[in-house]
Amino acid sequence: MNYALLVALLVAPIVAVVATRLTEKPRVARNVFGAATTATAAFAILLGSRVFHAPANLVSIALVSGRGLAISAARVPFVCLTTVVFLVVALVADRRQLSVSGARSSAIALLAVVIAHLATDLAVLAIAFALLAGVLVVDVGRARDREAQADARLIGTILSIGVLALLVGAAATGGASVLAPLATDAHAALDPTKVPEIARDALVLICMVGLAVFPLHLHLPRIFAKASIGPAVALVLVQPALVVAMHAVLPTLGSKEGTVMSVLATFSVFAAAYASLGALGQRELRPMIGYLVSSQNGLVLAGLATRTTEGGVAAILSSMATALTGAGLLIIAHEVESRAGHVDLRGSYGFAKPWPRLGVAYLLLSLAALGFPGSLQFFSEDLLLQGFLASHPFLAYAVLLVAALNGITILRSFFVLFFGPSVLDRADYVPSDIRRRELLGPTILLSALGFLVMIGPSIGALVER
Amino acid sequence: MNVTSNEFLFEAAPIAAIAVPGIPALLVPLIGVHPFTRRPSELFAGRLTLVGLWLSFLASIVLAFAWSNGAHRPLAIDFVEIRISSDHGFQVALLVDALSLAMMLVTSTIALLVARFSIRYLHREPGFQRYFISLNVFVAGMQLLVLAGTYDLLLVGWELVGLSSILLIAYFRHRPGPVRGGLRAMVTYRVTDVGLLFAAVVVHHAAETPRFVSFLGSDPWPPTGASLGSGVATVVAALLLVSVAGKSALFPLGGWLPRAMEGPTPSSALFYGALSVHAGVYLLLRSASLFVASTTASIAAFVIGLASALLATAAGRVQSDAKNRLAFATMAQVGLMVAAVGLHLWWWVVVHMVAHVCLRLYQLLRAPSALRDAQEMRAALAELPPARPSLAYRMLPEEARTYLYHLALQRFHMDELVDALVVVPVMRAAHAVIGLDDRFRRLFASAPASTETRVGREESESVVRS
Repeated sequence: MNYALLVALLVAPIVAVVATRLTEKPRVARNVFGAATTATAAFAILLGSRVFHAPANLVSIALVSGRGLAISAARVPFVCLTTVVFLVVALVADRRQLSVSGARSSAIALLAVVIAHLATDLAVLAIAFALLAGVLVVDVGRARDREAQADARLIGTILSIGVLALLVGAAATGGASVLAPLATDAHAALDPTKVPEIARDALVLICMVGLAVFPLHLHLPRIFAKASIGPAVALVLVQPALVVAMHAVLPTLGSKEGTVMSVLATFSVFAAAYASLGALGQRELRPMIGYLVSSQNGLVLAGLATRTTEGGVAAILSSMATALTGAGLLIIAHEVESRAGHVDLRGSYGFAKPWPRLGVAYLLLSLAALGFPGSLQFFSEDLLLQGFLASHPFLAYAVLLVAALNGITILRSFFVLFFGPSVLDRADYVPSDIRRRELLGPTILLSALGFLVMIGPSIGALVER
Repeated sequence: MNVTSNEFLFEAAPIAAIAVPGIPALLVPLIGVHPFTRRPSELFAGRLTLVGLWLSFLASIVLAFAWSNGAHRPLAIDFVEIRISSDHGFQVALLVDALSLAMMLVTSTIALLVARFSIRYLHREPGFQRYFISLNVFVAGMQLLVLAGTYDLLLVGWELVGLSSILLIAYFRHRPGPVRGGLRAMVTYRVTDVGLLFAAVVVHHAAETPRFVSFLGSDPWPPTGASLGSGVATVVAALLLVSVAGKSALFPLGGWLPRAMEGPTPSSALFYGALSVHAGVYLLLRSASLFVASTTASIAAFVIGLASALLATAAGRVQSDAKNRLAFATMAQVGLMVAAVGLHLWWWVVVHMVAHVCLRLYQLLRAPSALRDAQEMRAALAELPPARPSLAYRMLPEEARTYLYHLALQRFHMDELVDALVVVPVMRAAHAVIGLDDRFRRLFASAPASTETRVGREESESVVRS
C-alpha cells in the first residue's frame, strides 16, 4: 500500500501533464491540474500518516543500485506542504495564469518538486532540477519578444550550471545518500574521507545556483517577473530540498573545512546583503519578492556554513519559511496584478480601500516573511544568530542588518500598494476584492506556517539528531 | 485577608497574568473576523472592546493583590519552553514585580479610558473597526511587554506595539501625510528593533538563560547588581539603548514622533503621549541591573537622554500647532527620564513616568479643543502684564537668538542628517546593485537594458524619503 501511494504521488502529476497535452480547452486543463494537485496532496498526506507505521519510518523505491526516491518521517512535512502550496496555486490562479500551457508547465513543475523532496541522492535531485529548469526556460521563452528570449537564455544558463554541479557532486560523492540528516533510520551517511577535492567546488556551486545566491541569483527575479505562477512557485519550493541535501553533504568538505566554511559564511552574508539592497531598489513587486527570497537564501546558506547545530536547524527552518512566504507573496502579487493590471512600486495606490481582504492577506504574509516574533522565520533568525555568535560573531551584526533591510522593503511595498489615495476611485470599473476561493490560498498558507511553528521544534530535534 | 483567599489569589495569579494580555489579543480575531456579519457594527466592536478591557483590568487587579499578598516578592510565572534545539529554547515566562505592576495597572486603566473616549470620538469614522483592532493589538502587546519575564517575550510585545503604532499613524490611509509618517516610523522601528533582538540573543549566549530573574537577580526591584559581567552588560545595555532611541524617539532618531501625530487623536494620546513612547523607558528600568553593572552604559544613557531633552525643548518652543508642541514636550520629558536612568534614580523615573503618562494623555485628548482653551486662557489672563522674557532670552545676543530660532525650526537638521548619513547611501547602494545586476544580465544573455537602470539617483532617494 505504501509503495502504491508513493508511486501514485508521482503518477498524478504525470497524468496531468499527459491530459493537458491532449486537450486544447483551458477550462479542462485547469480542472485537470486542480484534480492532479488535489490527488497529489491527498496522497502525500495519506502516505505521510502511514510512514510513521512503516518499518524504520521509511518508504522507498530503489531505481538504480539502491538509489531512488524515499519518504521518511521527517520529510513528511516538506512533501505535504509542497503539495498543499500547489493546491493553493490551483485554487487561486485565474484563467490567464493557468492556460493550457500554464497548467501543463505547472504540472511538470509539481512533478519536479515532488521528486526533489523525495530524492535520496544528488543524482536524483539533478533530474528534478533539470526538469524544473526545462519548464522554466520554455515557460519564460514562450513570449517571443527580445527581452523574454534573453531572460530564457539567462535562466537556462544559470540553471544548467546548477544541474551540472549537482551531477559532478553526485559523481564525486559516489552516490551516497543525502537522506541522513532527516532520516529516522540508519540510512547510509556520507563518509567524509571518500569525498574528493573536486566535490568542494561543485557543492558550493550547487548551493549558490540552487538557492539563487549572488552572483548566480539573476534568474530568480526574472523568473518571478516573467514565468507562470506554477513553475515560479516550484522554484522556491525546491529550495528546502536543496538545503536538506546540502546539510548532508556540506560536512564532507575535508580538512580545509574551517577556512572554506568561514569564507562561505562571509560570502553568503554579503550575498544576502546584496540581494536585500537589490530588493530595496526594485520598482516592481514580483522581482522584489525574487530578490527578497534570494536574500533570505543567502542567510540560509550562511546558516549551513556556520557548521553549528543552531545554524543547520536555522537553515532548514528558514528555507521552509522562505519557501512558504515567498510562494504566498508571489501568489498575492499575481492577485494584485490580475486586478490592478500592474505591480508597480513607484507610486501610492491605496488598494486597501477597494480590496481590504487582499491587503490583510498581504500584511500577514509580509509579517511572516520578515520574521515577526512568533513566526517560523523569527525562530530561525534567532537560531541563526545563535549559530553566528558561536562561530562568526561579527557576521551576526550583518545578519541583523539584512533582516532589518528586508523587513523595511517588504513593509514599504505594503504601504505603497495598499495605502495612500486610492487610484481606483476615478476608474469606471473597480474589480472586486478577493473571492472566498481565492482567500483560501493565503488562509491555507498562513495555517501551514502556523502548523510549522508548532512542529518546527520537532523538525529541529530531528535535524539535530 | 485570610489564608484561603491568599491561596486562591496565588492560584489565580497565572490565569490572571495570561488574561491581562490574552483578553485584548482574543478580541483582535473576534472583531477582525466577525462570525455573524461581513463587517461588525460600531456597537459590536466598541462594546466588545470595552468588555474585554474591563476584564483585563480586573485581571490586573487580581494580579496586584496576588503580588501584594506574596510579601512583595517578584512573582515569576513559567508557562512553557518551546525547545528548538538541544541547548536553545523559547521560554514563555512572565514576571510580576513592583515595576511591572505599576506599568500594568497604568496600561489597563489608560487603555480602558481611551477606548471609552474613542467610541464617541471616532463615531461614524470609516475604519472604526480597524481602529479597535489596532487598539487591541496594542494593548495586548503593551501588557505582554510589561509582564514579560524574558527578553524574547518582551520582543514579541515590543513588535506588536510597533506594528499597531505604524498602522494607527497611517490610519487616515487616503492622505499622503499619515502614510509618509507611518512609513518613517516603520523604518525607524525596523532598524532600531534589531538592537533588542540582538540583545536577547547575546543574553541567551552569555547567561545561558533568557529569564530575567536568572541573570538580572531575583531580589525585589530596583536591583542592586547583576550576575552578568561588566563587558556583557555594556554590550547588552548599548543594544537596548539603540532600540529605546527608536521607540521612545530619542536623539537622533526622534524625527518620526511629530509626524506620528497625523493619526487619530485618541491613538496619538495613547501611543505618543501615554504608553508606547514610554515603553523604552520601561525597558531600561527593567534592565536596570545592567546599568548598575556598567558605568559606560549609564553615561551613554545620561548623555543621550540629556541631548534629547535639550533639543526637543528648543524645537518644541518654535512649533506652531498644539499636537507637534506636545510631541516635542513628550520627547523632552522622556529624554529626562532616560538621563535619570543613567543617574540610577530608579524610583524617580517611575514616578516621573506615571505622572507624565497621565498629564500628557489628558493634554493630547484635549488637543482638538486647544484653540478654544487658548482663547479662554488669553481672555482670563488679559488683564495681567505680559510675561517677562526668560533669563536665557535676556542673556543671549540677538544674532544668537535668531540663529537658534532657525535651528530649532529646522529641528536641528536631525532628519536631514539621518537621511544624508543613512538613507541616501543605502538607496544609492540599492540603485548601484540594480545597475550592476543589469550589466551582469546583459553580459550573460545579451539582454536589453532594464528600465531599472534608468532610475535616477534622485528618484531613488525620493522613494525612501516619501
